[in-house]
Amino acid sequence: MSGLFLKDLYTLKKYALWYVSVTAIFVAVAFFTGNNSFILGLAVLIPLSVLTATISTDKKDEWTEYALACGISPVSVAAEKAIFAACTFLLPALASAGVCAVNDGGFDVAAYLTALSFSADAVLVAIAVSLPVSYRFGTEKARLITGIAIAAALCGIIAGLSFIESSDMNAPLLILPPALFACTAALAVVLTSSIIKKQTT
Amino acid sequence: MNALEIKNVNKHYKKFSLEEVSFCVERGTVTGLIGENGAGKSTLIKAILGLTEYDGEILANGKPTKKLTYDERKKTGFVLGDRSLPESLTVCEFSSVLRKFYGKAWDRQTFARFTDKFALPEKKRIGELSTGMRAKCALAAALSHGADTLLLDEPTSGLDPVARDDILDVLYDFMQDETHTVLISSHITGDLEKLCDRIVFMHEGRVLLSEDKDDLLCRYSVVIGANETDIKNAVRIIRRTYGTDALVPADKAGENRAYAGLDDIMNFFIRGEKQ
Repeated sequence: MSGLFLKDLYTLKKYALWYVSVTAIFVAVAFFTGNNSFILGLAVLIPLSVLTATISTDKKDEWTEYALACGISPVSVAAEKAIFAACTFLLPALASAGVCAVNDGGFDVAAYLTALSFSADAVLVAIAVSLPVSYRFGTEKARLITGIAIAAALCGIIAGLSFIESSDMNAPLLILPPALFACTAALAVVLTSSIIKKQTT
Repeated sequence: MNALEIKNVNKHYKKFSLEEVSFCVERGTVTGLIGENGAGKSTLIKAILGLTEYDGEILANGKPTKKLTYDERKKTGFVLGDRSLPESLTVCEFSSVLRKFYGKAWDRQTFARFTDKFALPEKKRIGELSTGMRAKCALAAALSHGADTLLLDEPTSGLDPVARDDILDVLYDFMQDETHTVLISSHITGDLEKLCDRIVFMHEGRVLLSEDKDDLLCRYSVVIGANETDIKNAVRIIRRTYGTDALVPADKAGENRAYAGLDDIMNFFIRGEKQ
């Protein structure tokens, strides 16, 4: 799987300037407007655009077939894509922590982590939905579904954060979202690997 | 033990089928796979590599390919025809990725030796290389992880004679080791006539011939403007505007004899009428 990660890193190298620029813009807007929630857009945008970019480059390169011929399994291909996109959530998470710390002069760690967990789960569930759809229909045709997934993720985050503010359930809310993501991710990986196998055979 | 055994392989698509494909590739030999476009050569190679489902059995060194471990699969190198390489990566990045795939089996020095030999620019994207350079890069990758069996799908397609000669040279070197084996599909029958020990001829998803190359090239003769006797003795005939050409057993060819090359054999078996 490390070879697949490296290939995707090389793919993202082309877009590095774009991602850095977009992050800087979102951070700047969040900072200057004092609106910490604005950074949530970045948290959704980056992982899903990374997923789309890596899958579409692989299709153009006919890379998946080459990797499978080298002995890499379809499950590894699918799992790597999900994990790689999920890891890119770290960038907006760090940016969000920085913006919150600066804007609020410090923050409640437990509340922040709960909010982060909720946000991460919404984004990662969106990745889990987009992954099999992008492989099945191609990233161009899957844009509508990906767009709906982005909108649903944003609504999910906003609704979840509102719920957190009005409730006192930080501990369970730290566990439930990752558990939900784990279930949807497992399903997405199995479904995607089956799609990959069908497409190459 | 044979390097590869293909036993009754069947694969059905809507408009094409591989049917009862069976042949062996002996260790230490080069087997050429010939056939017209759409004969099933690429489908068969993909089946051997596990890229396509099939009915039947394919054994690599006596073990079913479906049960090979990841380490055992590293012993097979491959070239998957035209455009099989990731165009967005540079040659150097491609090597780095393959090093992760193959681990200790990846021989960086061997790859570097081939990039020098073929003058492959390491910092250039594979998509920007010429067709010949890409073919050489694919072959370099196939030869740089200690493979003892090579599966080559049209490795010299679209290349000029000089580039093809470079690749054939590399394959000759590879075959100096008697434990190495090559299965190569190609339309360029001249290359196969130089390189191969055995020829497998596929047509419409079936194996028509699986023969020793030297025997095959001495088996038939082409008679241009065949007479009645030639037509009677012929294995296949092609009717032309000027007359009839015949593919006859060499011992019955008579005075107009010219041994049939692989091109002729292919042509007669595909386009000719059976006698």
